[in-house]
Amino acid sequence: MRAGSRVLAAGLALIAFASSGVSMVAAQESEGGITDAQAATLQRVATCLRTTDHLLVSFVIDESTSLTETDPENKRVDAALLALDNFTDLATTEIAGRTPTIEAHVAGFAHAFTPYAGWGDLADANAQDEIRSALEDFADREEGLATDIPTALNEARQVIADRAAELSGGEPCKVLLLFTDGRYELPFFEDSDENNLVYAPDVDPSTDGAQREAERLGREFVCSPNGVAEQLRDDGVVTLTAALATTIAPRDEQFLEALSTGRAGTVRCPGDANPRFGAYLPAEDVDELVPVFNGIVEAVGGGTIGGPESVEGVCVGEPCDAGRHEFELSPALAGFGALLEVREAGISVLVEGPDGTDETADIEPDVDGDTELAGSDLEWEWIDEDTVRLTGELPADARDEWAGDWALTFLADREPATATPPRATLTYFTGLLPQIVGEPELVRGEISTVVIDIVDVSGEVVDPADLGADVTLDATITDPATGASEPAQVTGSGGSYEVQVESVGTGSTVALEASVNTTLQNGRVLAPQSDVFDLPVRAAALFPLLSPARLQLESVRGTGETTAELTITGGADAGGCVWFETPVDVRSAPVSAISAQFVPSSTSNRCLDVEAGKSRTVVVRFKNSESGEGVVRGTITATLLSRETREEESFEIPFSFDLAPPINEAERFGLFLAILLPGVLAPIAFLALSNRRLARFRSTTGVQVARVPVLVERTLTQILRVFADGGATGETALRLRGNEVDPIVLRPDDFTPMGKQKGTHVDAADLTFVARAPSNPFGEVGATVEAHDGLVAARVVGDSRSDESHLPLALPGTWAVALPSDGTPVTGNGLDATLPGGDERQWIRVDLVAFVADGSLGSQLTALRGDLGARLSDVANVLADRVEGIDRTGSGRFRDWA
Amino acid sequence: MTTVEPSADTITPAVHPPRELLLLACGSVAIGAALLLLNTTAANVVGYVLSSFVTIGLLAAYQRVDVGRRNRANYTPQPWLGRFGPFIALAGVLVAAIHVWRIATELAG
Repeated sequence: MRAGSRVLAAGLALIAFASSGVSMVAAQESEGGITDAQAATLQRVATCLRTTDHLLVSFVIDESTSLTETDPENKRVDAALLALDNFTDLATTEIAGRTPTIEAHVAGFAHAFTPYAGWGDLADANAQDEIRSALEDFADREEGLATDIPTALNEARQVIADRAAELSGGEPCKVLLLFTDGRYELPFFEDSDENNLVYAPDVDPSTDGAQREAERLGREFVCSPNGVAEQLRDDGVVTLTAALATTIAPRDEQFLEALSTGRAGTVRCPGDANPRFGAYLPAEDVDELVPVFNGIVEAVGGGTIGGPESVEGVCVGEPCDAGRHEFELSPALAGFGALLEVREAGISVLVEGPDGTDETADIEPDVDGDTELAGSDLEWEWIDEDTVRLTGELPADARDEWAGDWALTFLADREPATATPPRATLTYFTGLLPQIVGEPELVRGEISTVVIDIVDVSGEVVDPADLGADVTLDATITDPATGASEPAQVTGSGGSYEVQVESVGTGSTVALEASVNTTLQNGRVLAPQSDVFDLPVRAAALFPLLSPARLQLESVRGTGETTAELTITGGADAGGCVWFETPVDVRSAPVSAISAQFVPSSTSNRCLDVEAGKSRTVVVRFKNSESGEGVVRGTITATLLSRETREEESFEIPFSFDLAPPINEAERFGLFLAILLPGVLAPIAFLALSNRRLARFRSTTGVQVARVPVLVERTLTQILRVFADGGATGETALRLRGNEVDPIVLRPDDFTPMGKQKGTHVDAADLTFVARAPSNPFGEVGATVEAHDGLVAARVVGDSRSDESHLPLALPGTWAVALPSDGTPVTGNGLDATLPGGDERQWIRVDLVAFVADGSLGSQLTALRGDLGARLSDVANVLADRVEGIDRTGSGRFRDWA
Repeated sequence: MTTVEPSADTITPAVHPPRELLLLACGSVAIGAALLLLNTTAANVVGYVLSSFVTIGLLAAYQRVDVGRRNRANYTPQPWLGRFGPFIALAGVLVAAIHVWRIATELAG
C-alpha cells in the first residue's frame, strides 16, 4: 500500500483506531477476523495512541529452523511488511491537525534475541527503509536452534523500556508484536556446552532432564507473579502474539495465549485474562498469516471488518456472476479496504463503480497501481502473487459519485488450477468522530456540562442524519486512579451532544470517554469511534488550586532522582493550606526502592500556606536507589484546606516515570575510545602519510637561480653589489645610488635555469635544499637548506616566519645568503675600489642566491628587491656574528644555521 | 657599468593558498557542532564523520593544493592562514568526541 488512497485509509484507520470504543462491533470470530476480546485489546492501543500521539512497536519475529518447513513461502514476511505499511501510513497521515509519531524496532529470536533494526521513526524514509529491509531479511533467517520465547519477551521488554526511558514529553503507547511458528522449546539445550539462560542459570545442561527443567523455569519466568508478562503489563506494553498454530500442541498454544492475555484455559499468567494485556491471534495455516495480520492492522486502524466472503469461482475470459462480489459504500463512510485473495497467480480483479457509472478499474496480476474511480481514489498493492490489498479514499465532496453498490469480479484467462474460490475481506472506515468543545474543567462536587460534537475527518461538524447514518453517543467517566467507571448522561442529537459530568473519586483528573456508534442505512453497524479526554478536576473556589493534574517526570537511568514542580494557587476569594502525604503511593514499579520527598515538606500540622490569588511551588523529588527497568506509577495525595470554610479536600495526583538500566561505564568508555580513536588517528595517520608523500620537490623545470656576490656593511646601513665585469680589472665594480642605501638590484640576466631536478634533495648554486615532512601532522611540509661550504641563511619573500629550516617546497621567492668558510668580514673593501665611508668601515662579503619562476620576472624581482632591502643586512650580519662568535641573541648560544 | 632595472611585464592575478578548503573544513566542524543540537543517532554519526574524517581530510587537501600552488610564479603566501589548521583540527576532534560519547552512551545503555 502506498500514498494516496492508502494514506486516507490509514488516516481513517488512525481515527478509528484512536477513537474506537471499548467494544468492537466486528466481533464475529471468523477466518481472518478478530474476536471481541482481540478487538478490545487493539482499541486499548488505539485509545492510547489518540491520547499520547506516540507509539512504540517492537516486531519480534521467530527465526527458528522449523520455519523452513512451516512457512517455506515466507508468508510471515509478507504479513509483517503489510503491518509495517499500515503503521507507516498512520505515522505519515495528519488527522484533524495531528500526526502521531510511530517508532518501530525489529528483532529476531530463536536460541537468542537479536536486534536487527534499532528504533526508527516511520515518518522518516531512511528509518522506514531500514526496518523494511530488516523485515525482508527474515525470509533468510530460519536457522535458529530453539524457540526461546521467555528470553525474547524479556529482552524485548528491556528494549521497549529503554526506548521509553529515552523519550521525553509523556509516556508513549507500546506494542510488542510477537510472531512464532512453534512452541516454546529448547531442543538443543542438553547438547550445549554452556548455559546462557537468564531464567535457569543453575541448571546444568549435562544433567538428565535439564531441558525440561529449563523450560519449566522459562514458563515460570514469564508467568509467575512479577514475571516478564506482568512486567510488560506494568510497563503498559500490549503484547500481540501472532502464531502459526498448525504445529503447536494445545498446551503450548495456551502458554502463548496466556502470556498475551493473562490466562488461557488452565494456564494463568499470572492471573485472569484481561483484554488490556494483549491478544493472541492464531493462524490456522500458513495462508491465513496475511489475513491474520490484516485483521490486526485493520482492527488497529479501527475499521469495521465485513468478514471474508468467498465468490463461487473465477470468471474465465469475461465477467460473470459466479466471480462477482458486491458491496455497498454508504455516504457516511470515508474509506474502505479490501484484502483480495485471488488464490492463484495470474488472476485479475475488475473493480466496478456504483450503479449508474460505467467506470471500472483493472487490478492486473502482480501490478501495483492507483486510479480515480467514481470520485474515489483507489490504490492497490500486491502482497504476494495471490493476494492484493485494495484501499479506497472516499472524499466527502464526491459522495454523490461514489456512494452506492460496487462490485469486484475475479477474472482469469484460463480455468484456474485451484478449486479454492477467491475471497474478499472488506473493511469499512467511518469518519464520524467525537470532538470535545473547548477545554472544560471539572469542579469537585459539581456537575459540569461538556459539549461533544460529531466531526468528520477534516474536523468539520456534521449531522450524521444528513449522511443517512443513525448515530448515538455514549459517554463514560473513569477515575484514572482506581479505574472505576460509570456512565454519564448524554443529551442531544444530530451533530452536537451535551454530557453531564461529575468528578468521581479523589483524583485530580477524570477520563471522559465519548463513543460514537454509527449504524448505516443498510443496517451495517460500524465500530464505535471513541476518544478519551483527560479532564482536570479542581476543588471549589474557596480551596487552593493545585496544578498540574498529572505528573510525567523525566526518566531515571540507573539510580538517581527525578523532580517535578507542583504549583499551589490560592483560591480567588480565600487563602488556604496544602500538605502532601508521605510516603507516596507507588502502585507499580520494577524496583521497590522508590521514595519521594517534597520541598518544602509539609504535614497536616505544618501545612503550606497560600494567600488568596497568590501562588507558590513545591518540588517533588523521586529517588530511586536501586537500578531497574520499567515504568514507575503511583499517586501523590495532596490535601487542600480552605481557610474560609476550614473544610478539607484530598486529591490524588497520578505520576509516572521510566527507569532505565544504568550505563555500563566500562563499556561506554571502551566504545568511546574504540569509535573515537579511529576517527582521530586514521585521519591523522592519513595526514602524516600525505605529508610524507608531499615532502618532495616537484620538477624544478621553470625555476631560475642567481648567485651574485654582495657586500654588506656591518652597521646595517649599506648593501653593495659587486659586479664582475669580466674585464681586465677583475671584480671591481660597485653599485651605489648616491650616498643612500641601495637595495640590491638583481638583473634578469643574473638568473639561469636550474634544469630538471626533483625528489627529496635539490642542488642549486652550491646549496642543497632538503624536503622535510613535519613531525607535527598538522604542520606544513617544507624544506631546509645546507651550504656545500660555509654557512647559509635563507628567507622567503613575504614570509617573516621563514628561515633556513622552514622553507617551502617551492623554490621561487626564496633567497639565501651564503657565507663561505673563508668569507670572514673584511675591513675596508679589500677591493680595488673606494667604498663609502673609507677603509675604517667593516664589510661582509657574502653570496646572495635567489630563485624565481619563469614568467612575471619583473614583478618577482621587484618583490625580491623589497624583501632583500628590508632583511638582507640583518641576515648577513647574523651570519658574520656566527663566524666571529658574537652572540647578539643574548642567549649565549647561536642558532643552528645548518 | 649599468644595471638593468626590472622591466614591467604582464601582470597575472596572484595565486593564494586554497582558502576555500580551510573554509570548508571550518564549515564541516560547524555543521558537526550544529548536529549536536539534534542529538539523534543519525545526527551523531554524521557529526562524528564530518568533524573528524571530513575535516581532517579537507586539511590534508589544503596542504596538498597549497604546496602545488607555491611553485607558481604569482603565488602570494599567506603564512598566517596555515596556522588555523591545527585549531580547526582540534575543534573537529572535540566536536567528534562529544558525538562519539553520545553514541557510546547509547550503545552502552
